[in-house]
Amino acid sequence: MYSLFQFLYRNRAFLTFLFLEVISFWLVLNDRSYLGAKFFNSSNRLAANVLNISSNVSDYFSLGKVNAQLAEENRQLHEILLNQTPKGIDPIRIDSVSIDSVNHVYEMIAAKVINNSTRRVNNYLTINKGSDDGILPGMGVVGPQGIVGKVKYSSKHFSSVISLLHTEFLISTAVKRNQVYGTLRWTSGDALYADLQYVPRHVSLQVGDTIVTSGFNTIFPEGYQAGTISEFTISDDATFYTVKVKLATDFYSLRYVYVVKNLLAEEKDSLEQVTIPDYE
Amino acid sequence: MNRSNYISLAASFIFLGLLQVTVLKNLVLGNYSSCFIYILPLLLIPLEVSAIALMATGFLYGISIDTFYDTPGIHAASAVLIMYLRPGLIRILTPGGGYDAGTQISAAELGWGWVLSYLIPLIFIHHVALFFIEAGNLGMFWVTLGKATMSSIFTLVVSLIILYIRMPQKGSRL
Repeated sequence: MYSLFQFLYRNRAFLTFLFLEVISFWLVLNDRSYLGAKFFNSSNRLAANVLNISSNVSDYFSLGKVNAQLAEENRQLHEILLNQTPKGIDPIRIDSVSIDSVNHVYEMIAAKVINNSTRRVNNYLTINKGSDDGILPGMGVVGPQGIVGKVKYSSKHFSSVISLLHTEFLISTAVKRNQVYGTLRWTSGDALYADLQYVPRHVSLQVGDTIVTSGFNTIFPEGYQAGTISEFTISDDATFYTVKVKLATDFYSLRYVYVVKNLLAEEKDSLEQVTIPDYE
Repeated sequence: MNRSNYISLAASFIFLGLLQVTVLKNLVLGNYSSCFIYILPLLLIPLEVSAIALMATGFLYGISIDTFYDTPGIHAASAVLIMYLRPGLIRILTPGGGYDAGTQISAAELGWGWVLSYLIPLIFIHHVALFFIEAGNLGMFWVTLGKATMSSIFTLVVSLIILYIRMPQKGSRL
């Protein structure tokens, strides 16, 4: 027994080293662990407040760009509004008839990006709204130009968001022109481009085709802009195209985002959970 | 090592840590080279501190940086690794007459040659560990190694500048 203690004492440095490395790697591998969710992410109060202060300072340097972005977004919304109002009919009466609980599926919560990374293998954002504002893990996040990511953790006043620039984040999308489905996935490297996977070879694609979110996910509304095809190739023996998509969202200049709350998400998910096992 | 040295060391932990997570986190040269200057205070901890205290400090400091980077464990693992290797390297680099009691890790006391052969291996090992754990595989081996090397140079240059600025001017030393 004594010699055991002596052995442990003699190797205490190495054993401490092993112990700390095991904890570290456990945290790395269990990305969703309780500790990681509770403390070691940027929605933690101390970290988020520091990031918030630093973003308040750096905001002043990008005011012009943010204004231009918001103006452009307003222009698009006005255009949609103008084109949707039938001439000669009072728009208010139509609205009051058509709005009911079934049509009102999505709610949006505006938030400011206080922390954003684009150059790592798996990137995250931090936004300045949290569970007090109704944000829950799993909600989709969109920007003025297109989709951005998915909420991972939310604390009281802040949330950390898995960016679209995360190698394990897959999004069900469709080519807008012919409704061909594919999976959008970022494969690290350039923050401007992602890959569209599993597009079968029998469909026709064109450079410039718009890629939008499909209705298969409950995170994003259907038909939300994701990007445009910038190039595609297919080798003779491949089943699927290799498609490079230019992302709609400019992650370098992202300042404001909207968190999408799907009021029917719970119903859809629980229905699918009940139904799908029957087929297998 | 007296108390004021420890206070200035603690201040440099806080200052360089905050600098890392607010400014340097967003600064990448040519898409390849990032600076991880936050490890410098870890390397400047006095010689007399025990190996276990070194690793514990490295772990706590690394996990704090991880919190800001949203990468639980990656910075902690790399920091603990270099803190484990540090005493061995210092032993290898022992100058002819051995270390005097209370020797500080600085160019003024140990010379630039010693400082370079101390910083280069530890910074490089830290960055290699960091980038490979982050990549999670050896798939893009050369890209990852390239990033680690370019970042090591960036961190080393900034470290040397800081060490040079902090070096007491000739004649003003006690």
